[in-house]
Amino acid sequence: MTTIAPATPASSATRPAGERAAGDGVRARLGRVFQHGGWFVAPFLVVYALFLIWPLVSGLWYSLNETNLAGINTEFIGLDNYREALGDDQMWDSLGNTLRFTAMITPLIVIVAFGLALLAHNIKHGKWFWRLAFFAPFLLPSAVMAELWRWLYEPDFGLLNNTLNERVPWLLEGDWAMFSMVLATLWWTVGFSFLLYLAALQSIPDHLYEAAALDGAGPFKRMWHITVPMVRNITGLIVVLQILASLQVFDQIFLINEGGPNNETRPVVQYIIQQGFTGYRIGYASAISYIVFVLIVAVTLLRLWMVRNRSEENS
Amino acid sequence: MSRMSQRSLPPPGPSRRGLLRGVAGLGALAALGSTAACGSAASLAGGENRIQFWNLFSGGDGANMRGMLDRFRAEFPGIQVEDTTLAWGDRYYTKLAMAGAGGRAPEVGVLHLGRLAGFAPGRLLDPIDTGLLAEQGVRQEDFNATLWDRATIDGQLYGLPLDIHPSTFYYNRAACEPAGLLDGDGRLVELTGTEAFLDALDAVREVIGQSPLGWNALMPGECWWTFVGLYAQTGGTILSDDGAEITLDDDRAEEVLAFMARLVAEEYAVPGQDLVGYLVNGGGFVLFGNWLVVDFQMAGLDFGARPYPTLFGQPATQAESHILVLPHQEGRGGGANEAAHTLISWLVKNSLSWAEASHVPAYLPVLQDPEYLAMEPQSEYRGAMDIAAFDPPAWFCGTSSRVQADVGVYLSAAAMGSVTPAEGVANIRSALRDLLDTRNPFGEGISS
Repeated sequence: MTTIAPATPASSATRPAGERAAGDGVRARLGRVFQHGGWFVAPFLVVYALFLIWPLVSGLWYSLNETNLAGINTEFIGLDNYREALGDDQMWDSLGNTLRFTAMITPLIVIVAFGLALLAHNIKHGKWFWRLAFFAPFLLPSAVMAELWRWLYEPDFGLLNNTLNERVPWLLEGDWAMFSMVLATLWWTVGFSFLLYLAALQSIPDHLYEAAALDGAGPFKRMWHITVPMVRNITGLIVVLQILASLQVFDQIFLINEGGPNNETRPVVQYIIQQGFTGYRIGYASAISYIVFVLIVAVTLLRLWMVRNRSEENS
Repeated sequence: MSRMSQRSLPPPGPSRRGLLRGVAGLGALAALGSTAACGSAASLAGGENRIQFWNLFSGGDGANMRGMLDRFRAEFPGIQVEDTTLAWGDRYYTKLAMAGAGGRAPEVGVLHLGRLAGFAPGRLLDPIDTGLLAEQGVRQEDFNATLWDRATIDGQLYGLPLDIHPSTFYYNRAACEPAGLLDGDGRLVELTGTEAFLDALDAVREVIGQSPLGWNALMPGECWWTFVGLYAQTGGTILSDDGAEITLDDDRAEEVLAFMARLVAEEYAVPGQDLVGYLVNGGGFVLFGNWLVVDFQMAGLDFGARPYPTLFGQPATQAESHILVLPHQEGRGGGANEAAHTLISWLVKNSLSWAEASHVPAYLPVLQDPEYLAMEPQSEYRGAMDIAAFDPPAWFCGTSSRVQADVGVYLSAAAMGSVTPAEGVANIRSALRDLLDTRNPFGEGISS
């Protein structure tokens, strides 16, 4: 970049002043970037390129090849992996499970997180305790959380069945198992959304409520006409974050039940791992991950589009 | 902080000296990293008499293995053994395969016998020099013939069997004694045929007042083990000897699946139970691999363990085996290779202490050692060696393999009653078909 200016030293004098300023501008800007933080960002950029951009590109290449784990017998096969994946019932089944999980957990998280945030916001005593209690499970590693819930769901001497005094087939039947995964995940991750909501609630100015109260609005009306619209942006954010996280669900389901029974809770990420690392077919696994990737990008774009629409509406 | 003091701070860009210092620091870090990497690379390349040994023993058997290696080091001070324990399962095989593909593998590794066919012997694995073994006094006739044959591909030995680890039938003496199921020596009486077996379970159910059998029909892998063992008892095979054709006998398979489903449907076994928790808390029986022996012993349980009872005609019990292998190295040979043969020979000859961790030693002289015979309950299931039913010889078989996930899940569905046994058989047939139609990702070995 520094070569831009010296490249035209002779003609610079005859050139219009504006152009020279532009060349200097780039240099000056780059210089500023490197003086102000460029060096600080550089390590991140290197890591980002190495561990995100590069795998992304090489994954795409793998998916076009009959790549295996050991890297022997690799053969270019074009779109065959994608063709196979699109005709693979197991891929669709597992993708269906992931979508089912996402569809169940997302509204639950929004509702429960909002409810808990309202509680913690309005409660008079021991606020810190409720905040901690609702958020604490989020800090557990998935392995700990899975072990905990595996024991809770234990058919004979698990805490849940013991308390209910009934043998609920928590993990034994497909629909129950999916529900159990959602329940465990809700407990585990709701704290994060709860915190976002709590912050949003605290930033709603009090005078809005006071004015509404003066106008005779009851608690329910105040909530519906002030609180809910005021946290709308946060709700949108939580929905998208939750969808993105749920589309990648894997660890807790794998650790609690290995995707059972009868693969009825197996998420698509587990299927990718089974193909890639149990079956050694890295190429095929990459193709499936790209299909999921497209799905995730689509959700993200949809979100961007909705946000833009809304801001245009507002302005 | 006032505006003035903020302005008097030095400019945010790093000073030249600070930058140099930072770069030097990074360089030092990189140098550290690369020496560490070089250290292992150099030894992988095979310094004379310096051998790398990769294993997957991360449980109680891992401590045992490390103890054995310490004894080896004391006996052979001239050989430097660097052992690395990697996490069990897929991840281990991932790493070993990649190392072998690059020809820069460790001198010695561990593999499950069932995985051998899929591990491209001749390409990812180097053959074992039986001449060097013989120099150490380890001969073919010291091993069970079936086991040795399975480790031999196209006349070359690719794995030296260290042990077998069979599916076992655990029984809790406190539950079996009142039911009259123990003989004079406190061992479980012989239960032959499904009816006698279920009668015994019923009797124990009476005594303990809860489901009499710990067996997790929810887990595909565990269903696969049980099926392999019980189906072998019917005398059938799942795949042909070359692993290319399905030879499954549908009627026999259905019979076995119906029996597995009955265990769940009639609440002999409650799926999803923690098996150790179940037996320790007054359960009756458990069907699982022999390595739970350690857990039960630690819990102070009075129990016995034997191979699967014969329910379908002829004695058989599912088993896997740890074999010691030589992962592929460019230009394997020389002192390091000889040292590797010394190590694997020594390990099998000294597998008595290995047996303490509950596996059945593959080296027959140890299997007959009076000290081993005195081990309880280890010696009670030593007969598994003669009736071991291994996974079919195909690339997708073996511990934590595709077959366990893909076929196991259908076995589990049938056992759980989600599908009928007949549908279950049709499902496993189509799953096997799919696997056979998938090209072996590692290709065939050079020699096969």
